[in-house]
Amino acid sequence: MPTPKSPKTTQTKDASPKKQVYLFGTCLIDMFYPQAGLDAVALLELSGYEVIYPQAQTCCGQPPYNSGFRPPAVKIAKQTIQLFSAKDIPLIVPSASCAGMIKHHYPTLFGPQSLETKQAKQLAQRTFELIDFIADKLPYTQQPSRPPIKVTLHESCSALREMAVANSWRQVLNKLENISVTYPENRQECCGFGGTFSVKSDAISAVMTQDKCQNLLNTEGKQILSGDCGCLMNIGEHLKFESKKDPCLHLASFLVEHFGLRHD
Amino acid sequence: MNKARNAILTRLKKQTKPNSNKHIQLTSKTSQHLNTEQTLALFIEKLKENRAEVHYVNHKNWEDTLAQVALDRRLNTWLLGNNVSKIEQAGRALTSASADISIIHYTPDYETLKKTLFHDIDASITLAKAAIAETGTLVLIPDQNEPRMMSLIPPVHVVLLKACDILNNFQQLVDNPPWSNSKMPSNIVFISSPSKTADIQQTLAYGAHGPKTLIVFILS
Amino acid sequence: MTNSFSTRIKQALADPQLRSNFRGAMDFLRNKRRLAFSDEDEWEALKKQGAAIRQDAIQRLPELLTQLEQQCLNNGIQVHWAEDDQDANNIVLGIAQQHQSKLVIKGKSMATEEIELNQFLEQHNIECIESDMGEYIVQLDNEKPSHIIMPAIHKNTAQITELFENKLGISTPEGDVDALIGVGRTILRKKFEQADIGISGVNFAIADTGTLCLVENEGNGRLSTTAPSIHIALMGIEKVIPNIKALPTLQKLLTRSATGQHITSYLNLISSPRKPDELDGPKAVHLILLDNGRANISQDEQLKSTLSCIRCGACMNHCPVYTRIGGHAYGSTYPGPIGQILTPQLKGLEQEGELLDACSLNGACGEACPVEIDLPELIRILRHRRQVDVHKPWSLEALVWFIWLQVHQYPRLYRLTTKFAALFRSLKLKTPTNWTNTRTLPKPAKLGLHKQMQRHSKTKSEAEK
Repeated sequence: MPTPKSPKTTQTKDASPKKQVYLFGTCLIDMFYPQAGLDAVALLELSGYEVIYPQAQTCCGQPPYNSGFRPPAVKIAKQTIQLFSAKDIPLIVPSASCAGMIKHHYPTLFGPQSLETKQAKQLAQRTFELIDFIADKLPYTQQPSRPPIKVTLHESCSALREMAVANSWRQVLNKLENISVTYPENRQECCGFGGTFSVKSDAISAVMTQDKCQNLLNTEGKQILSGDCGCLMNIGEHLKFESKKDPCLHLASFLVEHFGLRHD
Repeated sequence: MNKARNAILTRLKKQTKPNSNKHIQLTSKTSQHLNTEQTLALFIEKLKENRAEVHYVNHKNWEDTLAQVALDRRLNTWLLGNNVSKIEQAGRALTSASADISIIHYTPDYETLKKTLFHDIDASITLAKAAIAETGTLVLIPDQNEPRMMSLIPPVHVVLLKACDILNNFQQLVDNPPWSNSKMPSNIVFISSPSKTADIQQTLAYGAHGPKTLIVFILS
Repeated sequence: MTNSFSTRIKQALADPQLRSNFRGAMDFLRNKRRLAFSDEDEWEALKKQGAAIRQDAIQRLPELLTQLEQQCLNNGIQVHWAEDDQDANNIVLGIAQQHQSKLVIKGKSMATEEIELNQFLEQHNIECIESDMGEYIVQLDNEKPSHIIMPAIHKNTAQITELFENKLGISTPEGDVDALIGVGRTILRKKFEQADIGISGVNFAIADTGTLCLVENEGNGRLSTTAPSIHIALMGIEKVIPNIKALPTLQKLLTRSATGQHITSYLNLISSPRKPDELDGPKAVHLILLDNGRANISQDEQLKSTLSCIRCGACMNHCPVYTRIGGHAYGSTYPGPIGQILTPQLKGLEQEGELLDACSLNGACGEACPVEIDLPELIRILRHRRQVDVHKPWSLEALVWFIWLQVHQYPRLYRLTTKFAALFRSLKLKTPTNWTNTRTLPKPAKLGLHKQMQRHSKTKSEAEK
């Protein structure tokens, strides 16, 4: 994989202060897929935002939380809330799964009358999944001409259900020129990642992953797109294991390429 | 037993939240405002979808139609209830149709009639007290005149229904039922199709345990 | 996971016939349900109504159950209360022995599966025959049902044909489902004639009229509850509803969610035994109200929505795990998502908590639930309860999360750790997990997003000068 490079940023001499957003990169993106994070930034800047990335961020706390280990999750959640409460600006998350944790579960972690709950609710109100946030803000009229391509969209469980942003993902792709989008058979069925599920129930996870990969490959899309790195990792690493090829790409990266923001 | 009752109720009453009893708005999609024709059309459509045979008849031709059904399907031994004038009429129409056709009345009781019920009956005929258009459902209220097994054991079940007794939807029926809630009939049965099952590889098969054929006469 | 659960899972996953049978069945049922609820607005409205009715009933159980009891008694239905499975079994046995009954015919009832009634009666020399086609098939093969609505869903036509040949000595043409049903009908008809007692479950019990509601397609339920002179109905205490006005909504939700039907062939309302002037119907009707752990659940503020369940099966139909391992792998009466939530609560987290691991929290179950039970959230809550009540503080998993916390709580330590991992990125590592049996390990990035963003903001501020 080539060293991630910061995509071309739109430079402007505009004197008016830019709207600001926070970016919560997610631990998976930070550790394994930083290009997707940089591409998220590029898209937000393209849409007219200044991105603030507090360096102290680590993880949303979902892994221990889903496993039933609340205390570590609560500690991390508290930290994360504080980190993103300095400014009352949108918090953008390039992962429906992590966005869901912050938006829907943080407000349930603390005592009902506590300050943390208040703050969590306030944060939840301004937490958005990346693609959903920029769906109506991207400069679609400024799309450069691109060769036609057929892609397959993997709608993650969090996008379909908890965050209900799968519609936005589809809408964004449908607004792109020269793109045809296909969907796998049993498209609403889980890819088998489920975080620690892939480790604790590895036998079931392996079979679900296998089925999902086969269904995705059957669509013959050139690339497999999704807004969740957990799924992309699960699918991508399985495909690499089987065939040494990994056609997975984060939606953010795909959009950056499509809008011609990528350096050659 | 009382010990169990007390133990269970004690466990249940530990609830600290008082009953909320908030009013729950119950609505039905199938409009109350379908006119009579539309209601009838919907009812017939749903019945047919569910493999019931439907005859829309009037007071002039229903007996002939019934007789014809018996002849076409070679239904010779008919089970009838007791003391229902419409059913007596039906019985006369059937026996007039052919010398092969005979009537057995459901009497004196199930135990005595059991063997006959299970082995000798080709078809039965009963009334329906009401019907529901949205699902093509007949509402039967078995009683001493038309006992429960009449609509259950024979392989062919014929139902007589007045068109004016068809309601639009289930909610309508329970809001204004043709029975008394304070004195519930021992049994009310809603019938929407012949007996069926999809228990074997999800493949639909008719005539599992109840009647294999359901024939509905709607009297205008 | 214990060896046995893990073993059953692996066995199921390695069985191509089982995989294929379940895949076909689940896709079929999902599709049927989708068509039945094609009107989104109607689905939303019905679901809200259903949830409200069920939640209200669970809030008022003592009141509704006493009302139900009173009305039933007024109607001539005898009412019994059973604290647990033993109680319930003994009540049935008592009635059977009182009437010297030798043959019991059963309509489909998951509650009777829960208390293992058939086995109990057999031990006391009372023959107990299942009359629902699916239940009859699994009984013939000495199995338990693998689904709460379609008990023989794990078998295909060929397997059932072979079963009838082997166990009944009756051959039917290949693939002829009608013939198989015909065989069942003939055999079971005799049993309906002969049986002394008919036993059923209850889909809903109406408190203000003392009425038992049963839905079915085959007619065996009606026959089981009408032909024998005694009818015994076993019901979980959560099945009570306040009045008949609630029935249309619940009926619609139940049948559409279960099989995609707008209504079943029969909906039977039983309010009393045979009245003096009536000619058929059971001479005695008994209602057994079964607790068996439900009362305790109703007291648990976080978990009581478990009792809203109307036993439609939609959750398991949509579960990608159930679709692949089938019902038997769970090793409990209730499989799939509702089983994973109910069984540990009825039988104890210590014994059954491992069921909770077989879940990716994908949420398809909660989305399909017609009474809005937040099944994934209940699984999370139960996992938390298990961690608090059952897990040892020095378990491996506790250690893992302790380390995880240290790393993620201290940003500096986090950045150090990720830097460290990045250094070893080129090593082809194996993990102590099975991940690498089917997947490559993701490669830590040379420069993580933190570092990249530092550079990015540096570049930006330089550009703006």
